Amino acid sequence: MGPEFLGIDEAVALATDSTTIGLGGVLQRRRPMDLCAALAASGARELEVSSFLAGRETEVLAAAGAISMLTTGYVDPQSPPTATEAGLRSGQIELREVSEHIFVGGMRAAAAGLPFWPTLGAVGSEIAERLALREALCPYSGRLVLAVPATPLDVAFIHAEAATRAGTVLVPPQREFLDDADLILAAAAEIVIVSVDRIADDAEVIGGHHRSLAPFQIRAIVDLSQEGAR
Amino acid sequence: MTAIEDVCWALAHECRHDDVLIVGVATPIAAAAAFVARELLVRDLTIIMGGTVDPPATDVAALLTDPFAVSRAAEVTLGQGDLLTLLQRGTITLQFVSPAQVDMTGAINTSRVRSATGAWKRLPGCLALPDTAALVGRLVAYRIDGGDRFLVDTVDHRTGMGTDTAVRTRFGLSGAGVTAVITEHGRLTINEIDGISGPATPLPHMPAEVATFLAEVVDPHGVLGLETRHARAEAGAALARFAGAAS
Repeated sequence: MGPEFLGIDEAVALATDSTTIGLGGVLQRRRPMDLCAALAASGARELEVSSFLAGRETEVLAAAGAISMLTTGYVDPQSPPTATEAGLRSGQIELREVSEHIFVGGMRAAAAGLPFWPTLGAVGSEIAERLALREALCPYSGRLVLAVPATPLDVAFIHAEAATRAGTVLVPPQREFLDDADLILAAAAEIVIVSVDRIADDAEVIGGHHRSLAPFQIRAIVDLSQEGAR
Repeated sequence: MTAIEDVCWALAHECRHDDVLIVGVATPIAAAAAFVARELLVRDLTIIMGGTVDPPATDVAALLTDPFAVSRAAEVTLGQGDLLTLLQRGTITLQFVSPAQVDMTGAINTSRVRSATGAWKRLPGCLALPDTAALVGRLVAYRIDGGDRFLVDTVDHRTGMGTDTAVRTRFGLSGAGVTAVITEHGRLTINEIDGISGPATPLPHMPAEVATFLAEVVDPHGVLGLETRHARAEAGAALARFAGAAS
């Protein structure tokens, strides 16, 4: 089973009933800007957005008044204030501040179909207290850990450079800062929608040792190089 | 000698043989101190910067404008999942942090502060600091021009835990939390912060040859001032010129 290649509005229509949405990318890289813009234009509301480092992709949805909750460990407090900042200040957007261990732990638990993920990160912090993370004892060693509840996503928006016709999505060929963040996010989502800049030839991929998302993990791909896709 | 040089040199002296030092992508003084330490003090220091292991000494202006540049110049870059696993296991032994507040228990705050009117002011966020405060062997907190807003009795928000030995023992945590605080006024151990042992130890001045390395290799554009109030505007202009020339 592989993904469908869809126009952007068709792809985003798969997400219109979603509540929890994960947005991929980091800093200025791999942000799913076109997917977010299309979702904002669709009139989506009350979204609970997860973004590892919230940036311009979140801003597109915030500017449309589409976000009710933002789960992140970082929001750049830019000047002049952005729509994201205005939403946080007014209370229209509730901030759920999470540490990296909590963010990724929740995604890993969801990806594995587990109810929680054990961690020692964030112990003793007000971050953990505000999230009401509970303590758990290892049944074997008796060691105490924090239990991060699974945070499954209804949908994940990912942007990548390329995909093959078979639906293999190529992630950055060279390791770089947080390059695996999108894979973690996608693994936690029920539906994964990917926008790509181009279609890659099979010859470019086979045996090339690219790290990737496999076709069976993806529901829809939007080829942004096609006329009318944007 | 400048306060930036002295704080950078003092941070470099915190590094020990076999340390694994993790550095974020938006703390240029921490990055500069790491490079200085490895080049001149602790040759076997392991630096993990933005996930990249042992990057070459790099112009910090380039790090700020393109955080991915270090990956292209080094042999190994770890993924986020790998890094968090190493952190959980206690492999990371040192981190330089620059929170908005640190208090007498060593608790740190990067989430929000109360203004003079009592209203909350949001800060950029916690990133991994709640995790590193629990799990990194030693944290060294630093700030220049922080004034009395930096070192406080109790943080407005506990983004990362303090020394709290009871909690650390109960969970068997690998980290000690903040062990020292460095400002332009000197170095304080965590015990000195709460008034047990006395005043801050004056910082050693950076030797001229180290200052030359810093100026020629690590900070040729003078952007370390971004982490100070008095030099932020000038450093910001320098970074903008660098970014403009690079694009």
